[in-house]
Amino acid sequence: MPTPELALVLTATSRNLAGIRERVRNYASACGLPVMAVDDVVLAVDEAVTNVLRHAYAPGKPARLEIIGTVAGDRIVIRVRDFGRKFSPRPVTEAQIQKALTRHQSHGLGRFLMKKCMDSVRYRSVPRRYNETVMIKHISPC
Amino acid sequence: MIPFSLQVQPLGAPGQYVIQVTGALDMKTSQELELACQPLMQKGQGKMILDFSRLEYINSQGLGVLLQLQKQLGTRGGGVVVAGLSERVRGVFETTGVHKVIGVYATAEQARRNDPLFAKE
Repeated sequence: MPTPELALVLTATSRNLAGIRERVRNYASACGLPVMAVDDVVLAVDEAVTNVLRHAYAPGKPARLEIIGTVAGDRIVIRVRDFGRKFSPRPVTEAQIQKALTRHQSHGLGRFLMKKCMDSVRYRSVPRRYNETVMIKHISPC
Repeated sequence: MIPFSLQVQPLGAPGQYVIQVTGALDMKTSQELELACQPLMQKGQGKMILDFSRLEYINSQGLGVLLQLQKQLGTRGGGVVVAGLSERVRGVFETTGVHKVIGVYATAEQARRNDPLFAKE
């Protein structure tokens, strides 16, 4: 059976988030991930796209976004790629999140959720080409 | 995928509301929730139950609005609690620890009866 692939090229706008979640859900399910793991992948991609919308592009300007999914061995690899400003999200610890929550602040929650949902989250920037968030999750049986 | 909608119901006492949130809370819809809450926050202390029994999905932006509401309302004796979380939405609360700083109840009615926020003064 051929390995399913995902290749979305979209306008980077929050109006596309619901559609992105649906496409990613269908893709992750087709890759054979258990339901809970599918939910994790959907949330992680949503958070990565939200980061792009918040940090890579100026509000209101048309911008491009790519979401690429592949399967490599027993891993699903999702790349969220933008062509805007470089941004370098710092890793966030559980202690930092708990401290923020006691002040009712949400700073870092998205990055924290991505880390919790995936086995690996990596950011990289290819100068004058693109920035991307690369997220990996192992496909374990139900 | 259920479309996003909000339904606001007064609880009887001034400044107290139940807000039923349907669909998903993401970057786009969280802004809509925040906007809908702004005029309600001008009335009384501002005590809100967010009924999530029809909420399918929440991300960090949705949690951020809840925390912001709690922060703003808490300074004047008000606050926000949530009710009716699905397993998945509850999982996001528990993964982040947000359930430790915002009251979580099985139903809106339980929240109204049991949370100190809504105790008769």
